[in-house]
Amino acid sequence: MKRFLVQFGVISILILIICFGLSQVTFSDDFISYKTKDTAYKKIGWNLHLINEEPERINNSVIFLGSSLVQGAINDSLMQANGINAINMGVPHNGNELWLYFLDRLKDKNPKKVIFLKGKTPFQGLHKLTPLLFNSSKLIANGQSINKDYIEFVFKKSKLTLEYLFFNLFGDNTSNLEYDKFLKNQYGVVFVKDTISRGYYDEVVQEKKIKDSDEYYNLYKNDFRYQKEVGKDNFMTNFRVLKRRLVIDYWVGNNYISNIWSQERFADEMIQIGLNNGIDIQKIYIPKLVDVNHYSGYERSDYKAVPSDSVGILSLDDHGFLKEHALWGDFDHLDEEGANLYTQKLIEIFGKELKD
Amino acid sequence: MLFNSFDFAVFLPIVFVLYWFVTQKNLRQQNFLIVVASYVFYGWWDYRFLSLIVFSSLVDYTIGRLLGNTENTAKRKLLLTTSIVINLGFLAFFKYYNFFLDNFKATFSFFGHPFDGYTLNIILPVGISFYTFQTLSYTIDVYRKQLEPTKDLLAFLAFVSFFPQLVAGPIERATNLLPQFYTKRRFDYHNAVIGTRQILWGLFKKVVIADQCAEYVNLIFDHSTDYGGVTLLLGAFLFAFQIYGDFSGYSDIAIGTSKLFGFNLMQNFAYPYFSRDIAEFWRRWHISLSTWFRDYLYIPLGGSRGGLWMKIRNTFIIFLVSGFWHGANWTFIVWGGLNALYFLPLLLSKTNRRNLDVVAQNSTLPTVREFFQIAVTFLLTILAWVFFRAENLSHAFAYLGAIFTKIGEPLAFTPWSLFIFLTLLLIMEWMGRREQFAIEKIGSNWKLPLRWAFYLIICLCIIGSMDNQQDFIYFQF
Repeated sequence: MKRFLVQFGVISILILIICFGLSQVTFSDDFISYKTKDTAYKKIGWNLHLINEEPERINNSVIFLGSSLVQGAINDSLMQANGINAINMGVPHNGNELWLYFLDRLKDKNPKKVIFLKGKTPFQGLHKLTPLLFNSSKLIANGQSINKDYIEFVFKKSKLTLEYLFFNLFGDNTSNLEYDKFLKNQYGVVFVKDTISRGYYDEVVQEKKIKDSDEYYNLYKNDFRYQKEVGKDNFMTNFRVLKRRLVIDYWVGNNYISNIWSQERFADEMIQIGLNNGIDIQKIYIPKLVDVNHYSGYERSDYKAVPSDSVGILSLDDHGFLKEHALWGDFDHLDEEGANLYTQKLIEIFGKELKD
Repeated sequence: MLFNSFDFAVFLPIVFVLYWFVTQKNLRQQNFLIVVASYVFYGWWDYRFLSLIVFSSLVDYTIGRLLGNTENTAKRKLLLTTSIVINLGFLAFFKYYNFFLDNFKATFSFFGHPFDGYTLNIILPVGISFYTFQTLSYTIDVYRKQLEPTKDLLAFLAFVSFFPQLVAGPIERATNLLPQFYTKRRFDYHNAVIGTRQILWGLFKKVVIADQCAEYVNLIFDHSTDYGGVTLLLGAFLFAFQIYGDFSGYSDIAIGTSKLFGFNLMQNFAYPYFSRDIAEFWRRWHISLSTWFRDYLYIPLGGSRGGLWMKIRNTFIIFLVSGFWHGANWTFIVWGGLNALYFLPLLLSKTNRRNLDVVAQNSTLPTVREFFQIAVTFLLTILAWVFFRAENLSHAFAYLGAIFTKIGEPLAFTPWSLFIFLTLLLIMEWMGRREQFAIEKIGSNWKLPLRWAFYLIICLCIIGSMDNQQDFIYFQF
């Protein structure tokens, strides 16, 4: 038994060492763009193109970073038409480290202000593209805990490194960052009108349908009870609520299991980069359909205050003007008309601040 | 819980440590741990369906005990029938209810008597076909007096739910597996090393071969009208390797995991794509199911005794039932029927037991004749696999038709890296074809650095292919 365990342990450690070594590789922008060009994350290619090929556009501009909420809600052309030199660099999916990655890449291009999305879910792991963008040491240096997310990162990164090797050996030599090749059409507001049905919309408005996940995120607020459990005071319900409270509290609170605190450290790192490089850092709160109809500001618990909220948060006090069905692409995202209306409002309220 | 998941990578070491360090001194504790671990393993998918396994186990345990207490033939038959009805009843309900209903509705409508029947939104419990057949084998063997009914409920629960093979086999016989729960297991270094190697090879087949093939197979089969004949042929070719890598990979991981816990399961695949005829293919493909049907269906039906028509009838029955076992769709039944048709010439010419040995037993390479036989057999299986993979019969026929009618169109893509891995697989499998699994002996007498480098390369191939994780195909059966 001892011999088996020792051998198994040694070979496992060897595998980990090799993977850790492989995860130290930093990929070229060309490879990153190649890997994402046919995916929902193709906007990455546009961002890298700007950073590499048109850095003068970043100079003295306001950069918006965030998930699809930012990508779909901020019409930077409209801002530019109103004298605000803005660039929307939103890329689908959540993960502060993705926004940190871009801030790190563009910090020496002299942006005036960087505004990144105020995080929503407290149960957030790493962005799906993180293995493509970070190497292992850099991720750790930026605040990543050694936990399940990190181990998954190391294996995914190793896989990508092997692919990167093949790409460099056998891939074609044409650049994947050429503007005309495929990047031209990958920019802009992405959510089309009316993909959310009228019936579904009405159910949301009438509070008949709140996404399960939405309710899940709000467990804190409801004392860890689902709507159907509110008012029930029997043993089994109380037991389930207690179990949920213990599990989620432990899960969320444990730095070595959940990734929440790593996410916060990434946000802190962004603030620090801003301080070191004279870049004004702010957050922005962008509402979802349910927020517009049932909450104001960021009162929902999944927008609860976190340490990095010490920077200013760009938030409209009233989102009532976004209640119309025609303004929504889906449950989470404004459509083009909604994005224009929302951007116009931002310009009205914060235009001076953004110009300064 | 998937074998190729992070969850299992955590689960297995925990159970291993508890098994050998906490419960190793007490047989009942070891069996208890296996039951708990197996239920956790299964419940990870959906704990509600655990009740089915427990109920099925309790029914067959009780019937086994009752069979042991009576010599009355009528009573024994009644008990056996009860077990069969309950077990197959569950299977019929969860797996076949909607299929039969839809077909009844279609038939009645065809004759001008439409009726409304409620189609149910039924979730198919993972692995129900596997554990149902396993527990049935126990009752039948006890009925036949080939096995003493067990008095040890814990051992029986562990036998039915043994987690390595619970959801996708091998379908173990009670005569082989149950007695292993009566004796205390002792850790055997040699067995554990072989088991680990088999797990590694199973993961290679699943993650590197099957999951990568799946990417192309899904693309080609889902958009089959967009592609020419050569591409469609490539799709069928890759599906042959996908299903082999997926299912035999699962079996290897299951058998290897069992070895880590001191159990020996039966071999489920014996290099079927090196078969020289269809009969040999079926002696080498999903052996635990083929032999189950042989012992509990084919032989009771009369087997190869009786006249020629009886043999043909029994052959067709066993292939059609085997097809139907795989799923409630006419495609599986046609797949079974097609294999029966392939088998027929061998049966009629009495050559179905011609190739019982391992191909090229005493040589490195096959003869030209053997090579030709292997190629033809493989091609026949590829064509049959189209029915297995297609959405429905019209899709299958259109797919097969397009292979021949659109043959002039060029190949849509050439997955070179996958071809390299497939070549590696074939070379390794050919080298190891006399063993239980391909790398059982390969490298075992090499010097340690070389041997470990070999294992590390396989590990890196697995890690390098991990992005496209797919469910095991046979979970759905």
